Amino acid sequence: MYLIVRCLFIFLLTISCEKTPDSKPNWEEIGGRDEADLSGALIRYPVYRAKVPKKWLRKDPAPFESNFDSTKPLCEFFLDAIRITVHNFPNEKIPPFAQIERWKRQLQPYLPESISILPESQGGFFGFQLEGEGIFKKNPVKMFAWAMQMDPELSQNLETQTNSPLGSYYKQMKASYTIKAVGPPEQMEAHKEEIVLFARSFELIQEIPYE
Amino acid sequence: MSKLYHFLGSVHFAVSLILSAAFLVILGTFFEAKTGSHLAATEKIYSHPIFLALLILFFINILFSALRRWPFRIKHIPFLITHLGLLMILSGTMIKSLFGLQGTMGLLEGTGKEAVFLNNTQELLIETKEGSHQIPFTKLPTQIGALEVDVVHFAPHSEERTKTWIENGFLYISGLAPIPVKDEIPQPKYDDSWNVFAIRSLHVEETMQTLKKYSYPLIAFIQDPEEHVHLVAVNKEGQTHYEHFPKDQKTIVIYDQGYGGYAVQAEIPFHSKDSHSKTILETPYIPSFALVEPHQKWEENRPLLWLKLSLNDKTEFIALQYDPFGTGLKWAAFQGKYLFRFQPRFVQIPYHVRLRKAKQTLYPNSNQPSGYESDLWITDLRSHVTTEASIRMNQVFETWDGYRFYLANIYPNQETKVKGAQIIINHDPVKYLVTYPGCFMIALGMILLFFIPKKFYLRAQS
Repeated sequence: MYLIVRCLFIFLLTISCEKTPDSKPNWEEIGGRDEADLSGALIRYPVYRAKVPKKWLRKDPAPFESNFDSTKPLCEFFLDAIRITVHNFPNEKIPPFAQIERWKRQLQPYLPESISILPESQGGFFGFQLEGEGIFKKNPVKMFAWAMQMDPELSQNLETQTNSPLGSYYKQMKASYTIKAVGPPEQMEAHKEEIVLFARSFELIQEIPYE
Repeated sequence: MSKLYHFLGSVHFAVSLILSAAFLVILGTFFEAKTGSHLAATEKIYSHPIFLALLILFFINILFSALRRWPFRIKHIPFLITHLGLLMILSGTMIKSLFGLQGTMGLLEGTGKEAVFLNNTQELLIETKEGSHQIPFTKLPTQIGALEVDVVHFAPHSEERTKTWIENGFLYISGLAPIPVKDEIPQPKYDDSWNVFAIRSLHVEETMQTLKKYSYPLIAFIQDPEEHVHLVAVNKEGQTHYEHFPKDQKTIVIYDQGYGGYAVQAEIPFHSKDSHSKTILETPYIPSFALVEPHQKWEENRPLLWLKLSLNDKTEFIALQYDPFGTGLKWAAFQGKYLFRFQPRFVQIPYHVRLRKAKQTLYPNSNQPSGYESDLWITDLRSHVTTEASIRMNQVFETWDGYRFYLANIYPNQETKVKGAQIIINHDPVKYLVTYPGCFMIALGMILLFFIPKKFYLRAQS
């Protein structure tokens, strides 16, 4: 009997020592927009990577569904009622501030003071981070959004190599990108840290060639 | 011989060495305080052969003072351990200075490198489209294939002037003969062809207003008293265009990665109902240098190297100003066959470093930085293993083989631009084998010396 109790105790001790599930975010790759390869077939390169929390639900456009249209997101993530979308613009030049102004109009903020815009730079890109609260599609929401463009000097460096075999990849690399997270204010506030971590870890997979 | 042996290991010799070293260190401190230059103090005092000789004499003194105890007894153990520790620290310092590395890497966010530059060293970079050569300054003159490089002059300090368009009283436009600069608006040609004027004016605004009233096509370059250039263009329909070229022009056109030279362009667009015309003018971008008195703070000096280049039967001269970070423009010679840069010595390290993000936090309501932080990818080029690292002030990243990465600086201090970081990389090949064990030995020796009673050794001896 004593032996059984000891075994049971050791068993309970063992199961109580089981590792807690790893909640550290994973690095995940995100594809760019479709590009035609030398044979004319559409190809979608993995261009970006970011730290994505494990509990986020990811939705990518299907491989047979073209994402050439820049109004379509490269990738979406869902967390409770929060939607996080990633776009890039290889064929258009949209200055980050113009993008911020567009989001401000979309958001219909309660008060101009409820919007904060901060400059941001990372991974060879610079732009702005917007944080604001307002009415979006008739619902009260909070928005965290980033609009980033590549540094002109680095971009020019890639420009000179657009005729190389990696030209179409470089075109994706130097494209401006946006990350937008929209959701109910209380949920957005609760998950702010992980959304910011995702946006601040967002970077090109390939290093930008520079002397 | 015996006298010398005992003198070299004596307390008298040790005290005289300590006093000499103290005197030199005091001298170095005063010299550094006076000049504000750590480099000057290092060159004049700490790297001086006398100071290095003192270190060697310290080593001899410690070694001989230990050897004088021969034959060794148990009571000598603490003394011998302490002296062995001192010898290990001195050896570690000498090995580090001979085989160690202390270099700097400048990186922009999103970019990476595996080479560091050694501060305050000098080398000549010679590049062709086939490859590059790095020639230490001490190895000049040199010959690379058919190219002979000879030093004509070396000046300890110089200032660069990059005036564009107007230089020495003439306006230079590619494809046109130099146009002399006038103090008044010249007489125009009253036809449809462009009038190109070069004017020196104390009142630029007034001159521009006068020119804009003219009804003939003109392009005028006006130099103000501060040597900035103002371009005014007027077409026959009376449309005007203005462009400003500051004295230290930053925006340039690079032809063929520098092999084709550099230029400054002016684009003059005119739109009418029927046509859009665009005129592009260009002037070569060539800096000039002035020799000036060197600064007391040596770190601020920009030496100038004047080279004579000979290739087959042709000779060219080129002046190169020292580029302290090795990131500036390279200058072409022999019609773009070669590129040259006078830069610090670059050394490859076995790690590729990529800067992800450089962060600078400021004190509230001020532009004063309170902290710096940088996120890096560090790839070991031997094993191709990549590690995510974060370095900040007082937080160093160290690899398994002793390469240490320190964050020295972040620039610029605004988020509105892509930032760069200066990372100092240090490698001491014998830190864990010699220097740190030496410190441990000293500590151990001192504990034994001060805390174990003499009686213990005497008992152990008997």
